Amino acid sequence: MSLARRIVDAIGAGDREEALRLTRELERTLSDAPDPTGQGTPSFDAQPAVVPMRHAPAPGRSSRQVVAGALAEIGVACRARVVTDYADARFGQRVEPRTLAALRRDERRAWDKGSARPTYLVPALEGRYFQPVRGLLTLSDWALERRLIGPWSERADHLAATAQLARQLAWLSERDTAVAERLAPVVADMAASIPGAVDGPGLDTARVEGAAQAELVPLAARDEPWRREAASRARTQLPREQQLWGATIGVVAEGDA
Amino acid sequence: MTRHQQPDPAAATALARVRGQAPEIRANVRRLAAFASVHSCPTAAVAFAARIDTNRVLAGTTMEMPFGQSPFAIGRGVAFEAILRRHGHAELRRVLATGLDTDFTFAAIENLREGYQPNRTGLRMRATVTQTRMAEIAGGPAEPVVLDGAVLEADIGGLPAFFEADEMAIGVGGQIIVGENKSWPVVDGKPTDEDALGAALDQAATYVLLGRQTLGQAGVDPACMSDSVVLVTPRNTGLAPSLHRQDVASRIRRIDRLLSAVPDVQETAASTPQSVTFDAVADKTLPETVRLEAFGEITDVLGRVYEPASCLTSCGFAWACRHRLFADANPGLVGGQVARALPGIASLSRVAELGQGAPASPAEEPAAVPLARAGRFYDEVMPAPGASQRRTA
Repeated sequence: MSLARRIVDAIGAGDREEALRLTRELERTLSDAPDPTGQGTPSFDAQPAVVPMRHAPAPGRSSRQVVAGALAEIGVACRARVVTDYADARFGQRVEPRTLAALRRDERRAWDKGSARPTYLVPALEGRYFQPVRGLLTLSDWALERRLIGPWSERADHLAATAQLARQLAWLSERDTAVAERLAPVVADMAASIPGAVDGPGLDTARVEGAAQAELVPLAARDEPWRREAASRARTQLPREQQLWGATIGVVAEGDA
Repeated sequence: MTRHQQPDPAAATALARVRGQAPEIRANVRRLAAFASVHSCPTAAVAFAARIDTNRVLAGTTMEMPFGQSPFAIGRGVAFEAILRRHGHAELRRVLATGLDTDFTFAAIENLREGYQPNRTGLRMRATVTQTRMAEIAGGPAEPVVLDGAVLEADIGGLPAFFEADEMAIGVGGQIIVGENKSWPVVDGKPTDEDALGAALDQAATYVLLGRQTLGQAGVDPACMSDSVVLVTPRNTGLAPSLHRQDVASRIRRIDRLLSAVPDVQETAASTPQSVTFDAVADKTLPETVRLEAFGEITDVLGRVYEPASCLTSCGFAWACRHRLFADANPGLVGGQVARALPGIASLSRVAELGQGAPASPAEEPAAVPLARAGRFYDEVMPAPGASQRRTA
């Protein structure tokens, strides 16, 4: 019976003394054993050198997770380009916007199969007939109101996203300057269409946020009641599946008005 | 919503037979404008009624005309429209506010280009939203409404057709203004392409006209549609949008006349002989000579009106017609005006002979006298062939 086996048996029998003795014997046996390389202490003459190493972004995050993560941080319906630019800056992982169409189809297939996913990437819905707006991405766990698009929603969402990313940038600039530097041009581009948001070469996150909020408040006063009304209509008219993926409407016969 | 009559099934079958395997095209403003300039030609009228894409019927032959937009122009157009729409239509709001002197910051912008299926069902839904929103002008909306991709439904020759306008700004000073986006630049206040400008204004005028019909159906005063339209184009060499406002009242009247002159589909179907079909003309497996011969036979049966100026710029059959006329030395080759001045003369070679003093038949007599006189005058002015003098250009 090997020493290791006897140690296990001793522990199993509760004989602490015997187990300790056998462990010491095992240690002795191991230290007396000849070095397998047969050369004693290995010699290494090379001068120590510091090699800069950049950690690869956390491996194994799929583009789906990256997009969902970015979208969750932005928090409103968003164009594919904005989501991928943000994901690139924030997580250092580039997702090509054109691959998002395939991603969306995969999500739909997964839903049809009944896969247990906490959230799905779903299209925003246009708020009259609840047809999917394929260019705008949302997450299935958001309230229906936030996934609907009305006459003011695109601009309101853009302002809300810009304000949120400006806050995020302010926070990151104190913690991770590399990410903040990458994110700044994304925020600057989004803020370019907001009057009074950008002044001069630098980006003042408080100024961006303030300007976005100033335009957003009166716009939201129009947008939110509209969204609430559309959402209550959708809840009464559509089954759960269509509330996520959009209503299906049959083809109207030719010439039939 | 307009209730269109179902097209007579017999007429539909007849037109499907005429079309054969020729490529089909839906009525749209470009097609309508192209047809408007050749509407007196019977062959063009039949092709229009049968919804044949004249630009593609002769594809693969030497008579295929280089129509269609350049991919660069299309790419530029897409990029320009994307600039107008990004960030929740921020640029469009800005350019409309500057150009129309109305605040569009809180305007409701209905984006009808997204979220609707790209088929007739989607178009019909968009047409319904367009009409509903347009009718709101009667109630005097508190803030302007912009329809991005408004769809107007109209009856063209007895068949319903959908027309897609780039923008429609509702409630600007109690009026509705049609807008059209074009990606060709306006440099120093001058358009780089006058023809494109004319076509764009015609297009916008068509939308005004159809918009008035839509308002009329909704029981709203059609005068709400403004006579002036806006063009949104890039300024100078960049893609920064700028707005131009133009009165198109005279164009609206002209297009109204043209629309009412579009031949009725049922009548065209009934009057087209059984033998007429573009099937062989569009058949790419057949040799070119056979296809062109088939086309020649159709034009011989239906008749053709060849006007170099209008046909060459708007009809995909123009080269084939010209080729046919050239083979016959037909006086129509040089245009209707000249042909009308040569009554009773069968060919251009006969015109040359009469100019050289050939004896005229009684039928040729009216044209022969001025031709002979013109010939003598020409000989007096021009040196005889073989003379040592060199002609200068």
